[in-house]
Amino acid sequence: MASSPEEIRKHINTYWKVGAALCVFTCITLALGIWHPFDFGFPGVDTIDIVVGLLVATIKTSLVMLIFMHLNHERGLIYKTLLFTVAFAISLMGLSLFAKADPIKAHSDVTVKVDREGEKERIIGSANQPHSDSTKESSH
Amino acid sequence: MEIPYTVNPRRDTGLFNAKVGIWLFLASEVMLFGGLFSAYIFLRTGVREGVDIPWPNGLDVHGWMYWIGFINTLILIASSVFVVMAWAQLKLRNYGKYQLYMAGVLICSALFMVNKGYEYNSKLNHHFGIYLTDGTLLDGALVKDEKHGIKGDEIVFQADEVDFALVGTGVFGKADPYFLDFAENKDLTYDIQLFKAESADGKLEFVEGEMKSGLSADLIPGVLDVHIAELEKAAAADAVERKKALKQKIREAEGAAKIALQRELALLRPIKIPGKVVGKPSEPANYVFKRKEILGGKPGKESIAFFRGNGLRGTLVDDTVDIEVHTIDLQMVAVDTESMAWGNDIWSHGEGEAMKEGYLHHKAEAEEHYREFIQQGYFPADKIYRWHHAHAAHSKAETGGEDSHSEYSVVSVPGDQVRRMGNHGPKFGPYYAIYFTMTALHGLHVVGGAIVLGYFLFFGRKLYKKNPEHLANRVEVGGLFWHFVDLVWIFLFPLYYLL
Repeated sequence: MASSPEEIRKHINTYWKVGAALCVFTCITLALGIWHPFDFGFPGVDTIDIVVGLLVATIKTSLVMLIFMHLNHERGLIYKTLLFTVAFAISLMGLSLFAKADPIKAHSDVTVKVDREGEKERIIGSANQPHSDSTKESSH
Repeated sequence: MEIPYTVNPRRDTGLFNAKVGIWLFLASEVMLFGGLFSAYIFLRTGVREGVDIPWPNGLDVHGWMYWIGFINTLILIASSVFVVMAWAQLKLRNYGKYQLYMAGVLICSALFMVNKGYEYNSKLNHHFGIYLTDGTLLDGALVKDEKHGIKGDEIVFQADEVDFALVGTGVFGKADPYFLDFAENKDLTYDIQLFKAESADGKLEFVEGEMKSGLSADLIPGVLDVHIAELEKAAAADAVERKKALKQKIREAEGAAKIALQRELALLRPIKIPGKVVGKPSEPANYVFKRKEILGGKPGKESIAFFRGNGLRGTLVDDTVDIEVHTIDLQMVAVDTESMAWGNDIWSHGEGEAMKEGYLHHKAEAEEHYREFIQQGYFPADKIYRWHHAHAAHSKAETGGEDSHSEYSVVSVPGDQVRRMGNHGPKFGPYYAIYFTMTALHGLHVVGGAIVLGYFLFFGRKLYKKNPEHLANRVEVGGLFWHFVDLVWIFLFPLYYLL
């Protein structure tokens, strides 16, 4: 990369600013965790908070990579290397989809049914792992 | 030999070689951590609500610990700025400032690891979870038992008889009466009933032999070792004897009888020495030990079996677990209001009535929720009752006008209500397993990076004098690795501490 003393002096300012920006984003992440401002009461894991949280993390990552790691002006070879890395890393994340698409577990319903027979209610199984007597009809 | 392209870029790539190297290395590191992040997604999305051990919400599991995560994030960001500044100062040929910034990086990494150690210590040594027999999870910090002055997970057993294991055979056989360390009174002496070898009708037997009296705890392993050796010697001599007799018979026999005898010879083994000897402490004595020392993890009322055949016989004195409850999780209990967590007999410690009021309030809340669900005919997965931050409630009268939640409460759980318990180590559940795997691996990267950057700081002057650009390139490459470590943490922080 080009690195005359004048340019580097200019960069030094940028580095401090990026550092400050990273701290601000960290505070945003913390606030997300504490107050859950995007918690709209959806069932299960609150997806929106997680998406926003990871989005903030991605912004921070991009800042570090572009400025601190000088990827904003780097040689082609490195971009080519990273292209493969990104592709493989994304497919790694997708690996868990195979488990989700497991055909043996027929249902992905997230409710738990309650057996109303008798006086004492009890959970007879979740859809993901049916209890012996609730495996039942639907699969036949 | 001069290594080419350490300072000047190669014509074809436009880069000095180390930079190509570090980026290839970082690419492989992305795959290493990527695999673990993938595992995280798999584990987290795979939790079946109400069936599996719940995935702790970051804030609930860490309590105020997320502040440490937050501070550590800031520390790593600062160190990232410092490392890039150190490089820039080298480029500007300010060696003094370079040293200053680099020292800053090292201090940051040390602080990071100290915080991490604090966090691990709190998880491994202070925070425990107890699964009651009905599946209710009580989660919190172990406290000292008021009665016996022992830690919450410790058991007191009064023994009037002890079993010493005679383990192993051959040269590796060694007695290991480690449980002697559990005795409260270290000056106890023991009487041990040894065996002797007796041959009756040509068959070897081990029968009651000499009684060794007044042995102190440190003498016992030696005595047992000698005893094992003697018994094994007798057994081996007996085997030789029998072998000889059999061979003689084989010589005399013929036909089918001979074949049968040969078969018997092939199967001949020395007889087994007894598994244990019985000892008596000079007086009935208390032994204090952790639940995990017990074979099977559950203490018996009249006997305790330790690993490797050691054991105690007598009376169980105290196996209650004293824990300051931070979180109660009812997810594993089918009917929330029937959870053992509501058992009033458990909540007898501490602030008494105020505490009870709090629990009754929460119980009523749970009942209401439950009725709602019954009317709907199903349990929405996210509504299965879960009670975090189990504070005691104070009424308005007590606090002078305001409802307030006071300190966490301490409960004594009777031992027979504990299904299993453990510290918040990797074994406790999938969250802790992946948490420790990833944060420890990340911690190792921090240490590794600090070692390399420390080398550049303390041993860089010679190279700087010879070729400052070469040192700058090294620092740049080391810095690239450091930034990567920072990047990993940027994702670890929200995933494990907050969301």
